[in-house]
Order: sequence, then structure tokens, then C-alpha cells
Amino acid sequence: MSDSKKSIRGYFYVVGCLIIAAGNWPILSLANRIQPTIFGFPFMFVYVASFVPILTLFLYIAYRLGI
Amino acid sequence: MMASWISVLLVMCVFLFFSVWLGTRGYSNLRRSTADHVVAGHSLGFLAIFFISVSEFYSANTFLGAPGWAYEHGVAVLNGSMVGLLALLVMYWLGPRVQAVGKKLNLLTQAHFLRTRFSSELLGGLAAVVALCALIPYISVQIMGAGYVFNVVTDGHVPFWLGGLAAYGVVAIYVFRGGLRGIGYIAVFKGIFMLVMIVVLATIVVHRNYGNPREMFRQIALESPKNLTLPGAQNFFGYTWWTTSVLNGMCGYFMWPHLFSNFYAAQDGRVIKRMAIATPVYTLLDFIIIIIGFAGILIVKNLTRPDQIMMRMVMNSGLPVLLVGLIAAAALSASMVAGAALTLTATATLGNDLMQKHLRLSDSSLKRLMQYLVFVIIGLAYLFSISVVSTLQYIMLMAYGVISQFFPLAVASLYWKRCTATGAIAGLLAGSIVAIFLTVGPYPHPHDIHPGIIGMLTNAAILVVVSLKSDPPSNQVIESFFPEGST
Repeated sequence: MSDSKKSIRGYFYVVGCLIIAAGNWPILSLANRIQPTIFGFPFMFVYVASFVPILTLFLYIAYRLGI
Repeated sequence: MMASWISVLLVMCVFLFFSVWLGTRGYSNLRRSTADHVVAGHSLGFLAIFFISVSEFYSANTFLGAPGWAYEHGVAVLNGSMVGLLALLVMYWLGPRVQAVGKKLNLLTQAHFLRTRFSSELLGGLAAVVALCALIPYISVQIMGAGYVFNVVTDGHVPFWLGGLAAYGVVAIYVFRGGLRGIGYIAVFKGIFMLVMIVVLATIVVHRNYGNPREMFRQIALESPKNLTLPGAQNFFGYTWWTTSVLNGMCGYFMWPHLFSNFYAAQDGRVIKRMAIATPVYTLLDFIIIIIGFAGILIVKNLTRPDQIMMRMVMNSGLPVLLVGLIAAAALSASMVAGAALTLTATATLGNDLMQKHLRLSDSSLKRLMQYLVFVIIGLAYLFSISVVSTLQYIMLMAYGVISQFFPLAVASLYWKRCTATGAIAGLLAGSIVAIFLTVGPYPHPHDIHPGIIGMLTNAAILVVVSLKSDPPSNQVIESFFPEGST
């Protein structure tokens, strides 16, 4: 594997870890304080749903780059 | 005039006959190998493997349980959605490597993977026993879901035991005949059918009772605001519990033996990566399902069994009989497809990992044995479902902690050449004992930490230490699991 690909892969591991961290405390505790609703839905509802496009995009980019 | 419950029952019976027809389409006399029966000859493309997997994710637990959790705990139910989403990162990372090894060595089960990697019959046998102890109660829970649906929508005219028997009689037929290909046909149908029915039901329930979702959440925010924030209405999901249960679930999700075996069924690693990309979109179904539970918070008060809220909302919403029948059929399909995949994995585990080493059958005889074991596994699960319900719940509770103990082994198998059988067995036993002790022992869930995580850390530490103290594994095995140039 080339050095540049190794480096890109390293960045993707870091972003992946950040996504995992975003699903957990303490970021979650901040999100939880915004209440009761946003756009008519509970904030937690919107927050967790926002992971759908984030993950899809993240994994799609990784796939396209061959990681 | 025909009673409405008879009309609903007729719709469900039509669905069961349709399932038999669809599920047995996968049968072919030309396909006689165990690999064809259990993992569709390692040949499934994106659509088939995608629908099989999402059908396994959305079992009766999701269809009936998730609205129940939303009703009882509010937004804390999203813990399960977060687990499902983050687990896709593990799938993207680990899945293609498991698939490559599985296809190369013609592996059928998770126990088969561990037995081969570590050249250890003991570890393979241990993994097979743990898998069966987790899978059979899981099938029982699916049977209970099917029996419950029949009982509720026929106003109690079809007893629980008969409903479960009818649904799983059908499952037994198509798993026996069609194997994974048969399950695949039904999974594609179920994936689309369930999605449509859930969207229709959620729309009708919210529209009839509140007008729109915003109004529903506005009313809940006024009358029951604790349902909209953590730790939830029952104060169950503190941040520590949320975090550790999400991490445990994320690591353990694809360690369930039936989901692990799905990796083998894919034709190549790219199929698994594409599945990980597409699955988050299907996960939006989670959010639609739980809206039905939220709708029940202000309408059905003091429900003693929260998992009844889904069917209660169906029955209370004044829906046309045909629609009730179709929704009941969707609930049945959720139970049956997941149960079918669990059954297939259990038969492969029992036949290939526990019985074959004593019987030494030819490949075609082994396949035939696995087909007959379908009736044994479903029979056992059925007996458990009607007789030892409280014990089942206890076993399931422990299974969630124990299954995640396979994660350190799977990672070490594929990424650490020095990992040995002795280390793996010691780690698995230590992690499982810790997880079980902290689940049902005198000090459950210390400091609100999920027992599976403590078990996994113990497991990993012991695996590393014991592996370094024992003799390294042979090069022959290592070469199969580590492609040239990998670390």
C-alpha cells in the first residue's frame, strides 16, 4: 500500500472514531439539553437521525477511495 | 356476516401460504452442498444479502419491542438505533476480511471460523455451544412474537401456542427446502412489505390521533417532557449506561452467529461495503416504527406490558379489517424471516461444528442432516417458548453480554498473527464469566457500566497476556488468514 493511501486510511480511522465519539457522552449530554423539540421533533430524535446521512457519506467516500 | 377476526385470520393464512411458496422457490436438486444450503455457495449479490441482513436486524424484537421501549423510555429507545448505525463501521472494516477468509476456506459458521483459525476443536466446540445457547432462546422469542400477534388480532380466538406453531411450521418448511436462498426470496419481499406497512400504519396512527407528528411531540412535551430527553421517563438511560451499551452493542452486533455467517454468503468484500453504505438509509425505518410507540404515550395509559403498545395502537385506530390483516402479516414476517435465519445458523452450528466431527458424514449427507435438524431446533425453541418464558428472558439478558465476547477474538484472529488458541479460550472464558457475573450476580451493572464492556476489556487483556506466554500458532494457518503483505 502506498504512503498516501496509508495516510488517507489513517484520516478515515480518526474520522470514524470521531463519529463513534459523537454517538456518546459528553457530546450527547450537550445535545440532550436542547429541549424540548426542534423542527417539531425531539432534539435527540433529530440528532440520532443526522447520523444516517453522515455515515452514508463517510462510508461512500471511503468506498470510492478504495479504503 | 363474517366476524372481523376471521377476515384478519384469512389474510394471515394467505400470507403463510404465500411464504411457503416463495421460500421453497430457493430449492433445487442441483444444489446439494452444505455451502449452498447454509451460505448460498458464497455467491449472493448486493440486493439479496442486503435484504437478508436488514430482515435479521428488524425482527419481532424491533417490530413489537421498539415501540414498547419508546412508550416506556421515550427517546432513550434511540440507543438501539445508534448501536445499529455505529455497528456499520465495524461491518465495513471487519466484514470484507471475514468474507474473504470464509470464501477461501469454505467456512459456514462463526464457530467454524474460530476452530479453523486457532486449529482448536475445544475453542470451536465452546463457540458452538455458546452460539446455540444464544440462538435457540432468540428463536423462542421470535416464536412468542408470532404467537402473540395471532392471539391479539383474532381477539384471543387463536391461542398463543397455535399461532406460534402455525408460523414456525411454515418457517420449518422453507428453511428445510430452501436454505439461505429460500430465506433470501422471502427477505426481499418482507423488506419491502414491512417498510410499506410501517409507513402506512405510522401515518394513519399519527394522523387520526394528533393530526401530524409535530403536534404529537408538542403535546408530549407539555404533558410528559421526560419522554423527550435522557435519561428517559424511567431514568434508565444515564450517560454512562448509554455510552457503554452503545460501545458494547457496536462491537458485539455482528458477532451474533447468524449475522457473522452472512458475511460468508456475500460474493465478495465490495458487496459488504456497499451494504454498509446503504443500510443507514433503511435504518430510517427505526424512526418510523418508534413514532407509533410515542403516539401511544398520551393515548394508552398505564399499559402493564409496554411491548403490547404496537398491536394496541393497531387495534385501537379503527383500521379497515384488510389493513389490520396486512399489518399483522408484516409483524409475522418480521418474526419469521429473522427466526428462519437464526434457525439455519443454529442447524449449521449443531451439524457442522458439534456433530460432524463424530459422524464424519459426506458433504451431501451433512446437508441432509442439517435439513432435518431444522425440525429439532424449531421444536426445542417452540417448547421453550410455551414453557419457560421467564428463564428465556434471563438467558437472553446474559446472551447479549456474552456474544460481544467474540469481538476481541474476531479482531485478534484477523489482525494479530501472534494470537493463540490458549489465549483465545482463556480470554473468551474470562470475559464471559465477568459479563455474566456482572449481569445476574450480586453486583449487577457496577457504576451503570454495561457488563459486556467490562467483560470485553478483561477478555482482551487476558487474550494478549496468555497468547504472549504460549507457543505461537503454525505458519500454515496464519497464511490462510493473513493475505500477503498484511500486518
